[in-house]
Amino acid sequence: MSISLTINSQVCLLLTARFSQRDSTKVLSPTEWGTLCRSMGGAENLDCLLEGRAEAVLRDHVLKEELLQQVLSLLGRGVGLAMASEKWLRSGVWILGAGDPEYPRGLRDLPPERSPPVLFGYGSVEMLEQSAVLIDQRACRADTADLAAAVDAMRGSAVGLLDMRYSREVIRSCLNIGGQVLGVTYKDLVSYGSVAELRQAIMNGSMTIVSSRPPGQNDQRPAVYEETIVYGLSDMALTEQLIRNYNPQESLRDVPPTEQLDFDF
Amino acid sequence: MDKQFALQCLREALSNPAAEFRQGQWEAIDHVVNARGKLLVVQRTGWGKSAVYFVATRLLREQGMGPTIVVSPLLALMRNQVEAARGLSLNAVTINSTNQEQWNDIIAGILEDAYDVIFISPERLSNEFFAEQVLAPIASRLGMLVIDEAHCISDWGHDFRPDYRRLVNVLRYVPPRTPVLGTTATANDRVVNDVRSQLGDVEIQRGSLIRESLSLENIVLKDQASRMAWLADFIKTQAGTGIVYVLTKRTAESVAEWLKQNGIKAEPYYSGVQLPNYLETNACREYLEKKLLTNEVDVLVATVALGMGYDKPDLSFVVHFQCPGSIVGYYQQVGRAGRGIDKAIGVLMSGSEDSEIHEFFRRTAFPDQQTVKRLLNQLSRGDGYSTRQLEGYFNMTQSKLQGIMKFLSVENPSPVTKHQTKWKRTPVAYQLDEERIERLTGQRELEWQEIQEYISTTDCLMTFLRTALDDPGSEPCGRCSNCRGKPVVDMKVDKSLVMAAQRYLRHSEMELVLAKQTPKGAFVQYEIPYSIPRNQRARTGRILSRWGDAGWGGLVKDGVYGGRFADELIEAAAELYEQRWKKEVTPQWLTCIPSLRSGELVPEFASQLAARLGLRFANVIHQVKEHAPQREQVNRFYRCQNLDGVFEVDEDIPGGPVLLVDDLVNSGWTLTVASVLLRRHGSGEVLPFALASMGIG
Ligand SMILES: [Zn+2]
Repeated sequence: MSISLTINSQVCLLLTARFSQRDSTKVLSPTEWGTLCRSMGGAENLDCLLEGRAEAVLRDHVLKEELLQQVLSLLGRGVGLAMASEKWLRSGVWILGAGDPEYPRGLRDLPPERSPPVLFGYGSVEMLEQSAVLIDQRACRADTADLAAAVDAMRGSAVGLLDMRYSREVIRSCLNIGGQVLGVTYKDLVSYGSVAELRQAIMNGSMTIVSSRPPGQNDQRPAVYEETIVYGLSDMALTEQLIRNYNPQESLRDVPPTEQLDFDF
Repeated sequence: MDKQFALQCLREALSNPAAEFRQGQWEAIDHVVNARGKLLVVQRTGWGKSAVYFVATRLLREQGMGPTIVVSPLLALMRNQVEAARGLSLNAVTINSTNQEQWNDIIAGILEDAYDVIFISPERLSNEFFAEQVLAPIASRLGMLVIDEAHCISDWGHDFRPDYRRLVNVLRYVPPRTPVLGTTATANDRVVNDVRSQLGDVEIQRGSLIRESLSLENIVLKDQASRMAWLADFIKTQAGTGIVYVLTKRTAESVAEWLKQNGIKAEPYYSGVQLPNYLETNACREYLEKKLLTNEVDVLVATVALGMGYDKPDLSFVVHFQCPGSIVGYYQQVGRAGRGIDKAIGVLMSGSEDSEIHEFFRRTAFPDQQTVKRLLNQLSRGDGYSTRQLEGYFNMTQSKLQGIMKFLSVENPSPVTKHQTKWKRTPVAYQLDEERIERLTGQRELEWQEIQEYISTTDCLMTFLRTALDDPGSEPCGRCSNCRGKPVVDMKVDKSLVMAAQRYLRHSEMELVLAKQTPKGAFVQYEIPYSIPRNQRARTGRILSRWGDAGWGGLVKDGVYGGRFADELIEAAAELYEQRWKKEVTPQWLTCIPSLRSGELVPEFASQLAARLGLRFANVIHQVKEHAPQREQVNRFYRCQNLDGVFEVDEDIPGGPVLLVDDLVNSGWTLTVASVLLRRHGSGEVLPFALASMGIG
């Protein structure tokens, strides 16, 4: 577990993260973030913005004046960043910037507007690169325990939204039979981490929780990236195979809409 | 920003059109403003660090940066600084626990960019509630970070302080190109190097630490009475005001009271100090700080709590009644004298109790592995516990428990987190860093040895201090007692005053007030209810001394170890009983607490005291079962449970009020239980009496 903060994650946080629920700073929107990343040639090239010639560098990359000024002002939030990061990292959370080498491939390959600028998580970062079966009730409506057994039989891990009842039940079932899971949440990571059952799973290495939202910010703003994270961290071939093996009538393309979100844990 | 504009700001700030920068001031401003760098400034107090951060703030604000946040440990100092900022047309504000009703307005003001400088204390910074309510909404706005007394962020620069540990972590995550200014007047190379390793790319600026007005002297007087006598005489001959440093709160109280009795305007000062008209201890401290600043008192008798940042330029003496734990600590405290005057005196006295007290401080500074493990195991079993709930599982005082939780909560990453009132376990595998603790404890021991060398050195005292602090220049000062070859202060000790001090120490008995409520479920056999019925409660009693203290406590200690109390203690107890204890009822007989362990020690003393007082002695309380020593039970519940069913009282006992005697008292539960049993068996009112109380206070 890493408790350090790379320059890249610092830049990504400065530009896109609110430091608390009550922070109303106008951070970069997904579109603005995408524009910046494209003009700089990728998130991994943003580190130079903390090297002292930020303004000149930004001008070199022909950024619109308005966006340029916004970026410069966001970079001035260093003290606030330090206070917020101290709190986040102290709770055992790790932080990955979009340009960090450990940032998962499945997300890096997406267009920058669609992939989260920062990932926060509990548990093993390595698990992000393992093959995972996507759990989504739009794709599969099987009994949760059976599905968990099927995932386990394929020697894969499962990835799904912790905040939705169906995928959460599958995740639970997987943990019950000793499987590995990746839980994704747009709610407060830290409150999940303090639930005894999940905490135990994180500590013994069978679970990783990931979110694009800073810890402690359980707000009502719509989740922007979480579905993308679930898809980005899953292995589509493995998922298709599971569905074919398990329930030939269903397929990924046959997706009934659901908005079943619930928050009890 | 150029130097000329900065100079103009400085001149405005000082209202002096001819003012120039002192050596290093402009370089410091240039580094934080123009290079947006991190800088540690080691300069003696009075060098002008606040001018640096005020001018820097002014320039950064011109560049559109947010307000500066200054983390400073002293309340009164903050008030002064808020005033000083006005001179530079800077709007400064302090946010602390005493102005909670204004927090929302202040936050709104900061969000509207109405403030330029914000002062907070390190305690606030690390307070979860404050961080959530005040810092979180404004964090994005903050421009520069200033750390006053920055040596505290080094492991070597302080006795372990959890609040600063949190600050270290904050500093570690400050990104490049964010201005950070640390200032200190006390840092040796080890501290500086440690700060550098914590902060990464930090620049260091170091000036000379010599204080030219200060004359140093060491006095070794083993017994407290002689030191108290010398101190009273010394202060009476001083024209100016000063600080007397002591090691414990209890000594602060006792020495201040002694000085008052000798006609000196003295007040005690320590963390948690209470005054009749103030509810809040921070307000008391601020009031006392101000009283010294305005010369309404001659002297504050203070623990290390009066330290950092206290700035009174005309302070003319600092006397250490007991020896501090390190040279760094000593220099910092003695360095408060003579900042703005030509002559000041620093006297270090040391006594026989010092090393025992420091040994205690070192031993109790960190929690032990076993306790931490058990605590975390308990937390793992559920989804959150309050401190109260945890107390029920552990044999530990509430303050000790809180101390350990605080220690754990500032670890990084931390195994615990606090949500409102509940402690929760985080998914962080945790092992107490015993190596670090051993290293720090070892370091404390070395520091203690170093200050012992200072006490016995025959070289220049100022040079010794400067060398220990790695100050580059170190020519002899010419003013200390070693340089002069004769004392700086009058060394004479008035014999009659020593006798008076001895008498004072021996009359420093304490009231003994027993509990009125018991922990629920602790007395299953005795069926003592939560609220003890009025007619079974004891009256207010007396404790003759504190275990091992300079009054009678030393004799009590000898008696316990030697198996017999000296006759003088009988006389002392009788004198207290007859002459100074205004009793609400008059006892007609006397009894005592039995002990299977100490045998006849207490009954023998009690019967002799009864004979001396002319009271009937009746040994009516009996211990009917073994129990673990009461002092090993350190929270209410366990202490009470440990006593349940242990004593029995004879059926037929004398009537009328009774004097109930024991040797040592800690939490007083033994006396509380015995009083209930005596009343239930038909005795009259119970007046408890003990020879000594335990614990360092
Ligand atoms: Zn000298």
